[in-house]
Amino acid sequence: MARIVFVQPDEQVVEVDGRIGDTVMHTAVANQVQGIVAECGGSMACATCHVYVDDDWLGRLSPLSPGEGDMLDATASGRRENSRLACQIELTEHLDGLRLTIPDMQL
Amino acid sequence: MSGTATEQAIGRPAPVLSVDPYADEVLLEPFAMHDELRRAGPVAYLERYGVYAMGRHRDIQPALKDWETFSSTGGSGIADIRKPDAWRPASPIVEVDPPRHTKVRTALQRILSPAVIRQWREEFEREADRLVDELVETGTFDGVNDLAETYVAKTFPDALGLEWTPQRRENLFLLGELNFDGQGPRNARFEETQRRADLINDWYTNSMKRDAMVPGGFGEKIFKAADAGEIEPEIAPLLVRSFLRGGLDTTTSSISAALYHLAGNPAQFALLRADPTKARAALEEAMRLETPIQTVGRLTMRDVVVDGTLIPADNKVIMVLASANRDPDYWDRANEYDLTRSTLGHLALGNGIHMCIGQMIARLEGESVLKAVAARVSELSLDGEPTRKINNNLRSHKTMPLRVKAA
Repeated sequence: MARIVFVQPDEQVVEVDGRIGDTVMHTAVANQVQGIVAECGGSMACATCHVYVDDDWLGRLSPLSPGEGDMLDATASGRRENSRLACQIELTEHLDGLRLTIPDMQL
Repeated sequence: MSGTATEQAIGRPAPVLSVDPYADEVLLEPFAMHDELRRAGPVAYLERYGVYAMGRHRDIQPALKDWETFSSTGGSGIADIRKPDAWRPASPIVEVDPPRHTKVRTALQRILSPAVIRQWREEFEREADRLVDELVETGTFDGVNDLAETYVAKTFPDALGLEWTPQRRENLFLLGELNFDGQGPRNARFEETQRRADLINDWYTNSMKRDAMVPGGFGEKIFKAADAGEIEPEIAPLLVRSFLRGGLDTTTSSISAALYHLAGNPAQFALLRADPTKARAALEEAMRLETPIQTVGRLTMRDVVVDGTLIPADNKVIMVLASANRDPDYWDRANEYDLTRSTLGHLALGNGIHMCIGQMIARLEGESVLKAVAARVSELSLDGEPTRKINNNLRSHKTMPLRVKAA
């Protein structure tokens, strides 16, 4: 298991436990975390599972693919240096404690 | 015993089913066929057509993601388009796999990005409000012809940039009919549609050309992507063709289905009225239950064992999305229309790299219409029995008399 800490736009904190190998998006949706819309279900086609990754964790994630980079250019809330799609972050033991902020808007 | 182990590794042969998924009565009411397919196990062999079929959610979802095993290069329908007797050129997006697919998909994804589609929202909502206002005034209207089809036949080709002509609407729906009949067998239904479509062939051929695209539409952007070297120039018209053929009937079917379920479930309509942001949920749940594109075809690139059953290499497999979307092993109260359920995992738009590229346009259209209805209608009910169209692969209503009370 890996714990994920979601910080909502109003700074409310939601903590959920995800299975190793699952994506952050799936874990969030399974736990009904508000603000992870994930319309395309993880096909990297909708950019509605956008998250800002806490600086401490950014370097521990697998690198951005070109497709993910393209989708991040089209998110509803502005792209930042630490923007990622939650469907592209697969949980590993090293990500236990991962801290993410959910943007104001996904649609 | 090693013999048993080997057998397990090889997999059981698929059970043989004699059911005809393309018979009129099955197309009208496919649920018993879905049930038979799911009960047969992970895979069945449809002897009438010489293809395999899968109907369970747990098997179909991973298979759709596994394009290396379940390839789209054999065509999106039942026929293997590589074979001499069924040969036709493949769609450069739907019927290719990576690496060729990646380049085209990336270019199109950019053209239809969430940011681009957000810019259309205002216009799509205005048109939905205008049309629903007009229909509410009359008190009774047809949910398919007057609302869903009228709305989609205006907004979608306008966004694409296909110039309006008096024949545009009728011709586009005929192309859709042909497209989806063509995903089934070459039966009398397909032949008849093909004969009618042959009559509009000149219009069709001209409509995918660059000079048919009104500046500012996304059709023009497809040609510009070719200018920029993002895609091969010769595939630009073929991409426009895919939108002409696949962009209208699917969305129309989803919107009609949502109206049908809302009209038949006053409690669900009340939920939508109370919270119009549920318009998206109302659409997704209708997509799940209706599954406009009932099946997608794949081709096995190797011998593959699905939950113990073997599909030999080089075979067409029909993934019955509609069956997965009502699979009771995956969905609680599978046949009930419920705006409060999580529809994540419904396969109406596919899954994986070939998932519907127009999904955000479809959602924008559906959401705009359902929001307009929720705001303007206080009571929605059926005013007679709806009827269905029969198509080899597209499930949709033909008529749907509705009665409304203005809010």
